[in-house]
Amino acid sequence: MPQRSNSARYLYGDRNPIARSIVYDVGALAPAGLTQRATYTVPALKKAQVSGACCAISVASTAAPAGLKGVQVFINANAVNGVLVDASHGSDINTVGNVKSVSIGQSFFLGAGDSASIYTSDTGTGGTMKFDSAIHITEYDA
Amino acid sequence: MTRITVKFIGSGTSEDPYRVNLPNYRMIGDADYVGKTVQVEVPDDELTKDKGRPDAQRIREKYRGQQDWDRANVVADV
Repeated sequence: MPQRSNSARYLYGDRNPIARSIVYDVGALAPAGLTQRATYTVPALKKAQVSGACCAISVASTAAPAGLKGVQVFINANAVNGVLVDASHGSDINTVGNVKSVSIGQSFFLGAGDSASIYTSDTGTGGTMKFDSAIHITEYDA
Repeated sequence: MTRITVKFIGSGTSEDPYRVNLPNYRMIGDADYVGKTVQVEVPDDELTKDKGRPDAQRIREKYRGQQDWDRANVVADV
């Protein structure tokens, strides 16, 4: 049964909610520049709630030399781009199995035109990295 | 969501990251940085009816009024 607040409108969670979560999960990536791996943009007449995000990075094979590598979740709201979650390794971490992970629970809202994105980067030479990232998003009528 | 192969843009820097010129996508695996192509999953309602390529008109309607997407020639090359 849909729930109403004191207003005549249904609560956002009952206004045709649709799961729009995005995920990027790959086992062994060679070094590459900053790459937007996945993105979600809120359509017209919609809003979205971000309720969680996570990033994890691990060394799959050693680099020579290692560079800075990371996976980040970015939020672009009102044309301002900012990092929400950042799991990055420095060049000193280059042993197979080294892991860094960050996860957060959130509850904030995106308006039409705002976006949430997953980026990866690796400035090393050779070697591979495992990247995992996800953003939990629910879209609903504005 | 439907998987298609598209070209991507950018130079891999923080000012100009590699990215697909679409509002809503997820890369599958790694990109081909030499040929600048990548396989992505895109929502069905942003593709042509045969789901073979992004549909500029449908994207403009879905994201109407938004500076980045409600404009001509917005769609990534296939």
